Amino acid sequence: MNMEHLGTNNAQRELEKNLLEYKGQLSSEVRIQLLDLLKCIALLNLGPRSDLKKLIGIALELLDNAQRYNARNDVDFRWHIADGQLVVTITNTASSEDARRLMEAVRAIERMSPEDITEAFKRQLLEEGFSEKGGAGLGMLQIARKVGKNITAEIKSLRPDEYRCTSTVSTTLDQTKNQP
Amino acid sequence: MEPLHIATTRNTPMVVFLPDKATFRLVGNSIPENAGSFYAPVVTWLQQHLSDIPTPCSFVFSLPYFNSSSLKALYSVLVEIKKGIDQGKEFEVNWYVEDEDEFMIEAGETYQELLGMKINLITGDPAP
Repeated sequence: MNMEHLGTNNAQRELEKNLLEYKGQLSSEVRIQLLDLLKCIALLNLGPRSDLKKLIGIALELLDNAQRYNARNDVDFRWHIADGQLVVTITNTASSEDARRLMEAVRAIERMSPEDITEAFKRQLLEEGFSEKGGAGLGMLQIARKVGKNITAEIKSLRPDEYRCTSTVSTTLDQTKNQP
Repeated sequence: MEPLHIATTRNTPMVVFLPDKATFRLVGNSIPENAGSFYAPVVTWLQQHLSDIPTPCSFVFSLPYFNSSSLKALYSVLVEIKKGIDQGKEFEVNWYVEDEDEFMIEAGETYQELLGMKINLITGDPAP
C-alpha cells in the first residue's frame, strides 16, 4: 500500500471538508445563500460555539464590502479551516478610490492597539450618516475587533480606474469557545 | 397613529408596531446592502409618533444576523427610543440573543454603553 498516497488523500479529504469556495456574480440573493450555507458548514464542522456568529460575521462583512464596492459584481470568495485556523479571503474589482480606501483602512488598523480598534469602532458608530454606496465605515473595524490585526489587503491595477482587491482575514479557533 | 409594518425579506427584518399590545418588534436577519435606506422610515416613524406611543411599551429586537451597516442604522433607531425614555416614557428595550452568542451580546452591550440606557439582554426567542 502506498502510505504516502494515502496520506495525501487524507489531507485532501480534510481540506475538502473545511473548504467553501465561490467564484461568480455577487448579488444580495447570492450573499444570503452563502450566509445560509456558511451557517450549516460552520455548525457541522466546528460544532456549537459561542463565537460561531462572530466567525460567520467575518465572511458576512467581507461579502458586504465586496458587493458594495465591486466594480464588476464578480467575486472570488473562500472560507477555509485548516490546522485550527479559519482563513477567509475575498477578491473583487473596485475603483481606484475604493481600492485606496481599503488599503488605508487596513493600514490604519495595523497601527492600532486593541483598545484603539474598539475606540475607533465606537467613534465610527456614533458618526452620522452613510457613504454614498451605503457603507457605514465599520466593516473592517468590526472584523478587527474579532481578529485583531490579522487582516491583510492587496491591490493590483487592472486598468486606469480598476483594481483587483484581495482581503484576507485569519483567526485561530479558540477551543474554549466550544459548547457542549 | 399611522401604522408601522414592514414585511420581512431574506435580507431584512420585519418591523411592526402593535398598538394593542404596546409592542414594537424588529425581528429577522438584517443584512441589507443599504441599511441607512432600510431603517430611515423606521426612524422617521419613531420621530413622528414617539409622543403617541402608549406606555408601558416594549421594544423587541431579535436579529440573528446583522451586518455592520445595520449596527449603525439600529443605533439611530435606539437613539429615538432613548429620547422617549428621557421624556419620561416607560419604554423597555429587550434585546434577544441566542445561547451565549457573543456577537449579539457584544452588540447589545455596546449600545448600552454608548447610549447610557438599559437594554435587557434576554436569552431565547421572543414570544410570537
